[in-house]
Amino acid sequence: MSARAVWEEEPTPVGRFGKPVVLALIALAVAFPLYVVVVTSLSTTEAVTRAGGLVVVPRELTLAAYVQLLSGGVVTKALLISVGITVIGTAFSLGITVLAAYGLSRPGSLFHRPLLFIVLLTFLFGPGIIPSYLVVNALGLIDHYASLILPAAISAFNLIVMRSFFMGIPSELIDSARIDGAGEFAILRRIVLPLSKAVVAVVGLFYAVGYWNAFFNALLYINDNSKWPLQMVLRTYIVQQQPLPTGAGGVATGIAGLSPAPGLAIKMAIVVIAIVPVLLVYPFIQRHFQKGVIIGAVKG
Amino acid sequence: MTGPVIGGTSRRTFISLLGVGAAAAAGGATLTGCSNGGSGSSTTGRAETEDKLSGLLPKYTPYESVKPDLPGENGASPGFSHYPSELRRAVPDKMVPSGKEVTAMTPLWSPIPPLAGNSYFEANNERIGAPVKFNILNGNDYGDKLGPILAAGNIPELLCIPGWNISSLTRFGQAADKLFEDLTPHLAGDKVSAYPMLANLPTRAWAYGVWNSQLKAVPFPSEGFPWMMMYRKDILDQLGAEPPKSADDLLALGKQLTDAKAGRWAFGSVADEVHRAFGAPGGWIKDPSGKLVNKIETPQFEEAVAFIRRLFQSGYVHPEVVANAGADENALFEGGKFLIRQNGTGGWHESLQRQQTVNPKFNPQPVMPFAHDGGTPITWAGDPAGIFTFVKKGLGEERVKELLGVLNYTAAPFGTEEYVLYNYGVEGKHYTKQPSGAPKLTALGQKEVSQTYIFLGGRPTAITESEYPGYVESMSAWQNTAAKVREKNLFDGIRVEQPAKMAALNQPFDDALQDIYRGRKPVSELKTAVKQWQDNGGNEGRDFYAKVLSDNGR
Repeated sequence: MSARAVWEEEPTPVGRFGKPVVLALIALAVAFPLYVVVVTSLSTTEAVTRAGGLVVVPRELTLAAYVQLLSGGVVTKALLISVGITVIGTAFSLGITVLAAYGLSRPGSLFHRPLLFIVLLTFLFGPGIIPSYLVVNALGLIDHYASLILPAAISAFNLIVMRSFFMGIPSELIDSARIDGAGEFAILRRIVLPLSKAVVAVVGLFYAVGYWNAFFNALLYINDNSKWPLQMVLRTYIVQQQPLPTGAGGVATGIAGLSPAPGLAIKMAIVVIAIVPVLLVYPFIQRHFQKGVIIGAVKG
Repeated sequence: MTGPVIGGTSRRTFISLLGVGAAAAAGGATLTGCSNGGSGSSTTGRAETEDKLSGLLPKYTPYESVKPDLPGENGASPGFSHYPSELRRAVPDKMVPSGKEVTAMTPLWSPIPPLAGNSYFEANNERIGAPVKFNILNGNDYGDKLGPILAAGNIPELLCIPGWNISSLTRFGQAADKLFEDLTPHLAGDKVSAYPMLANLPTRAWAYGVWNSQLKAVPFPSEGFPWMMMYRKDILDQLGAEPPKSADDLLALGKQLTDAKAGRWAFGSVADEVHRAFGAPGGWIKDPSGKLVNKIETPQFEEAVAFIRRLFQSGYVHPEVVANAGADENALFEGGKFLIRQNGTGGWHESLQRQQTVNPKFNPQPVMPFAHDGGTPITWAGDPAGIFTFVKKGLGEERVKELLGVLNYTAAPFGTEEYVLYNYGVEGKHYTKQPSGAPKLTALGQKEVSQTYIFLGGRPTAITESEYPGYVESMSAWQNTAAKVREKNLFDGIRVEQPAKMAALNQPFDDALQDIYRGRKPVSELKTAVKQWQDNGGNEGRDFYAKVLSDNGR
């Protein structure tokens, strides 16, 4: 027979049909839990009770959980705060990360090795909760939105990713720009950044998702409940119900109308609300994302 | 520990006053009983004893707003089978004359309410005489914030600290000294008479508010039943089954109730209740030689573990509970997916509240405490207070008085105007009265009312939810039965902060236990796990607890 390599052969029927089946199963494994979350969030309390938890077969759909969540005013305000922090924080983080990465990617810039070393050090050693709190407290940032952005404004990982991308830009391009009289800022703006859209998009997404999902910094630094971002507010809905420590200890825990722990539908609605923004943004930068994540993985 | 011994007051008088506390407070770790009460732990371990504290403690002056028709005996909570038609005004004057804003930090286990323009808060603040500015935190995250703010000394005027959070705070005793006001000069003995609602708190609970021989905190009294076993009476009746009275009954019920095809199993989590039924103690006991023996070292415990394993192996436990020891059992129990479980006592009426409109037939009832052989059972004893409110130090005498006034307001018991106001808001606005007399929140109430004030200080325990027919009577009967057979706690009246090293052993031991139940490890592994527990700090813990006892002359 012919001496064709294995991969040049016609796929066997098993291979031809097996592959889509396996892929479909994998896709299903990812999509099914999401589907259950959405269906449960749209179910009535009766349906949740009958199912004894998560609802798989939809019956009696209702938007009640979403209405309840979004009608109080607390969640909507927190949503605005979260969007604000995410937008401003991402812009700020991206800005200083680009500047720092560019500076550190140019050989010969001032103190570039010790600075890089310090950045890498934060990879290995975190500051710990209490010292971080003491610093933020001493800076007078408690209860300021800045406390949600400044302490984690630069991520060492993102900085390194961006720096290595910048280092891959051919120095001839930069040199020619310099011959044409461009300064460092002009080079960054007109040569380096236009060539780095992919990495900027990826790092921007990392930052944005980070800001969007962050709750612990708000837990520590924000005392004023009206300044809470979305994730903090949503957390109060999903706390694993504990029987109140006191039991019936002189406390009216079962007040009619006051739900001691929100139903599963609400918890699932929260999951949906929390992931929707990321789902909305992702398709627009997906193109860059595919290119971006393999940065540094392969040469060329 | 070195409190002045002011003689005269007999310990007996204290003991008769109240039951014991919710060790289960920390949220259902199987081993909570091991910690001998859940009042917390510290790096080296500490203890404060009621016997030696009588000079510090406020004089108990009962305040009866309504007479309970189902009295609580032996430390069980009193039961009120209906809501009073007339409310007493317990706090006639505004307690904060200066009107200066009071800052407070409290945990909350429900969705956060709107804080700005909230008329429920405004109504309460109006009565208090000053706005209380709450920093509310999700109760499960609460401990994460306590460490940093205590380290920085950046605390509000009133700080609520649950006992179980103290375990993760290193050198809490030192922090308490530095940051919290000594309340002794304001409250000891007759001085408490300026705050009649605080004088109405049980002395045993106050004893738990002492740190470094100073009265440091206003306690949140608890009734102290770590667990109760619940069953679905509506479904058991349908199936012609009776609640269990022995271990054999449990096995028989397992067989009778489990019907995997119908999606129904007999049991959710029942481990702690089975340990108890087999006679394992809640914490430490003394063997005949006087040596301390922990619950997990007793033969009863070993027997119970083998029995629980049988329940699992026979397939009587709901698969979701088998797969995940931390499964959310409320939905499964309320949906009738399994019929018998253990829960904290507060879980009962909360489930009634969730289900009353959804499933009117839903009828969970408590299983009366039973012993494995059908003999006389024991029940476990916990702490008389589990949550504490501290006052910031250095605010000046006048301000401390005002803050204690706020705590006096939030200590108003069932049957007072204040209790209704801080629990439900204003009648006609935040709630309306149902035919049963029980308050029902209006739409505005649902939006605004939140359990925030209740975490400032505390109030005597009571069984009050008479809007659920039969609930108060049944709960009162159960508590009275359970209180009658409550085991004598060696450390009764001593708030012991468990050494951190010992507290850290609970999780690995519990993991091993869960594996044994589920058949992933043989029963013989229990011996290994107990040995590891002993070697890694259990024995040290034993010495520590023995010293606490000998220091207290027991």
